[in-house]
Amino acid sequence: MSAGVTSLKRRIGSVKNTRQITKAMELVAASKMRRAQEFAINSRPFKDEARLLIGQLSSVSDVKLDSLFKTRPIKTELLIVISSDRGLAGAYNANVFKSLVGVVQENKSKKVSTKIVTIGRQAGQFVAKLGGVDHASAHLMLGDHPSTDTVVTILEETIKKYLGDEIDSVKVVYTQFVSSIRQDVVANTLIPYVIDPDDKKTEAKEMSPLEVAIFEPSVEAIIKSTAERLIEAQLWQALLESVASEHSMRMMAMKNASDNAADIIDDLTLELNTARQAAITQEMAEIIGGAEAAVKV
Amino acid sequence: MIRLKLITLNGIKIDRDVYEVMIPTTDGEIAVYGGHAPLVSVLANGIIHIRDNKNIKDSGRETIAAYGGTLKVLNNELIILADEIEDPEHVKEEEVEKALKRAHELKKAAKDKVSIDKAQSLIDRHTVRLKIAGMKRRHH
Repeated sequence: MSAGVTSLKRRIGSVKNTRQITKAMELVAASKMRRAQEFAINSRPFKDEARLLIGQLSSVSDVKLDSLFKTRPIKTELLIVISSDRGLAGAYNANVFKSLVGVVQENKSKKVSTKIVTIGRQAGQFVAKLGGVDHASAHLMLGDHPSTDTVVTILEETIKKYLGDEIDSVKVVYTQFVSSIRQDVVANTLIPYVIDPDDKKTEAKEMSPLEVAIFEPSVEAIIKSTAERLIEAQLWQALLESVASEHSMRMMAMKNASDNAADIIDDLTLELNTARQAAITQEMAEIIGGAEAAVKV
Repeated sequence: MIRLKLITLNGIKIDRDVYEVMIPTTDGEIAVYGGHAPLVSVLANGIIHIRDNKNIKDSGRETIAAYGGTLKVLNNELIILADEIEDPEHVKEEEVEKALKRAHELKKAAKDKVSIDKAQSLIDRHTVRLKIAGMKRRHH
């Protein structure tokens, strides 16, 4: 009987250790999430202003738009997939992969061939096993704050391929950070950059003054220098949103694990008490039984 | 007065009304005051000077090193989308001199066009930083 008590005690001890680890990971993820969230929110104004500017520029009369803005029939599509390096982040990576497989299948049915660039070790490993797609290159996330170097290298290569007609469209599959408890996986088109109707609306009331604006050195030069910047900012934003999502999902996953560990500890403690009590009762019954037997003799 | 908004990827750095802003553009340095005509231009590597009001002397201007970007003047609002900015307080003259020397050596050692371009952009950047460091010394 005492063997049962010992093994229960050992199990409680090990669950307690696990809870300590998940609790620590939860706290670490929480503080990283706050930082990542701040970064993601801070870089939004730049992206918004750059988009507005491109929208305004594009409707200036007789402007020749850069080829980065022109749509053409899609034969090959490049997907940039953003995941994490490490696991234990709940459904974070699984959600991204589900959406990725969806896009790949849709492309297959449309007879569009798919190339994939992965950011994050998990995505690299997943795509390597996927088959039927061209895994163009794999990059690591490296650290909790993504580096601009990754963005610049990937985009230099991508834009070169796009202008060389090797690919006709570029999409980013990433996790959009909505709030600490809600993150959505989205697949956004990065190139060609489509000026959405919202931008047009704002520019309708603001456009007339820019019609007479001075452009130095020229509209084309400005669009050229802004266009790549804007695309860079979009990808950068996607990375930051992903990192923020990763940390909040890891935090939630670890919180659930800690709660679950607490439940298990409660159950085991109850079992331990019952076992201990049963052992005591048994021992007492034996003593009483022995004493009674002695009295009779 | 004109509304100045300096925005980088790390957030909105400046958002206030100012008297005058001197900006380095690829076509030369320009000064923007209130009521400026609509303008769109490309930012060069250089120093942005901000004068909050008319009575501030040249030495009292706020200075920020900027490395490329775009600027837009519209409806008495100046929006600078800077690729990268640097606070002159963080620039140390001796360090910059060393870095500039290294960049020159890099350019000499460079073989292909890409690494020459890279070294040249480093040289340009450190030249701006050296200028800003020298300015700081004169004024303090």
